[in-house]
Amino acid sequence: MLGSPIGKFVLFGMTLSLFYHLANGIRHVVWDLGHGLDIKSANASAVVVMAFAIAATIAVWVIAGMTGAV
Amino acid sequence: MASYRTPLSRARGLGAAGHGVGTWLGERVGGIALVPLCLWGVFAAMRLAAHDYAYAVQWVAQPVNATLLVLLFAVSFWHMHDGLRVVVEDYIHKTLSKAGLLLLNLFVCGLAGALSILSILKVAFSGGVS
Amino acid sequence: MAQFVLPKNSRIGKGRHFPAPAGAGKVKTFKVYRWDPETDENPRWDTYDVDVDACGPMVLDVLIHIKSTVDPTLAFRRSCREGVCGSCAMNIGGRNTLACTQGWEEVPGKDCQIGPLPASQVIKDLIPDLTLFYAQYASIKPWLQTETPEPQKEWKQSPEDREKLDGLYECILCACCSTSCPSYWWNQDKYLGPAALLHAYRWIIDSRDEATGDRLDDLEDPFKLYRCHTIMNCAQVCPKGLNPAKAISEVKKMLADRMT
Ligand code: SF4
Ligand code: SF4
Ligand code: FES
Repeated sequence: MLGSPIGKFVLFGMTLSLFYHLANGIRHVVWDLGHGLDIKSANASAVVVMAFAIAATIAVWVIAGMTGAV
Repeated sequence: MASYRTPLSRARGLGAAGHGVGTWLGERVGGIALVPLCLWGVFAAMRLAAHDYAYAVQWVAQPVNATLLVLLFAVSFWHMHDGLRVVVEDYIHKTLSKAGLLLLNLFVCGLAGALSILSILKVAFSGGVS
Repeated sequence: MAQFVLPKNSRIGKGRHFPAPAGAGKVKTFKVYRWDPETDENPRWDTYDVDVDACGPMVLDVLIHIKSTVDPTLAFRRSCREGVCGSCAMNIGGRNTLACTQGWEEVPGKDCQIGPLPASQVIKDLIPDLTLFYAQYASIKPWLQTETPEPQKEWKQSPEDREKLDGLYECILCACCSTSCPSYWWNQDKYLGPAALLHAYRWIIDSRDEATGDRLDDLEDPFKLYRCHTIMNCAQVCPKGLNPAKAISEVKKMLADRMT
């Protein structure tokens, strides 16, 4: 089931969501420590978080492809 | 409909509950613990996906893997409970539906967490004996 | 349950159209929220084609122009017309700001849409009821609290300690921040909102104040303070460039420091 195209699609979406949630979580912890709350940094970190989520997801799936996991 | 409560009385409401720091800190602690656990989890999933069922069973049976897996699931469901709790408190205002949903959230997350931990332990204790 | 759609009697209908006068120069359309408490009618969007060559550069200039030459029934608040009184806060082009400091040319979109501050009861047209907002401000006791007998001359404060109040004391209580905050939309009966919390912090860090602990006690509540989820709308809209989110985060840090 997980190996089917739909399964892979869902897994891919879950990877993306996980990395987005993870990076945004770190962003929130940094905010809670009192850093990066000015508008410029906040807007910049929003972009960084999305870029990281996309890059990390692609990296994971490429590596998985190379190691024969998918 | 008109209320003769003064605006200040409305603003003060029932006063401060005198707690909230603990909950707030707990949410962050769970979240921070999940950073390494999740990264490890992704790494582990990639490895397992490249192998067969028997390999996975003996992998889970290794104490380090079993421990980290248990922690990953336990903290994940705790974190999920924290998050959903905030959602319920934000949007649901009627006492009865709020209480019902908060309980449901606690029970479902608790059940899912307990079930996943027990499943891991079962494999950990019975598998990989070869 | 939080209300996500407007109740039936608040749905906004299409309103009247006021064409530009003959011989107008440059014309721009302004779409303005109208509601009259004296009729049973629903609110509506009136559109005004305004001869902007005859107006000053700010949205408030246009509103004053409409009121004095086109439609005297339009109601809005204003006083200083230079961003110091906080009366003219409204939602312009989807963003809370002061009509007197917002240039109409800078508003994105073809038509300039103007409504009252969101999630507030409307008294008439662009005038929201801010009674609760002011009471929330009063509830944080915005004054110096001391027990030590008052000194002969004054309560002294070092320049460094005085500096800590910068970025806080400038608040003009316009309510742009609180009414832009989603947490405030859903829970304004229990959550104090960014403006009141910014002021709470302003007194918490005042070196002359002797009620710091009581002030923190009054905030330690899952709703009064902790409904802030660092959404940052408050800082994005503050027309004075203040950062309530940062102040709130400092309060949370102090509470955490106090308990661990
Ligand atoms: S903090 Fe800014 S937006 Fe909020 S009330 Fe004060 S001046 Fe207005
Ligand atoms: S940072 Fe807090 S106060 Fe500001 S908009 Fe977000 S939730 Fe509201
Ligand atoms: S009229 Fe005073 S702030 Fe705009």
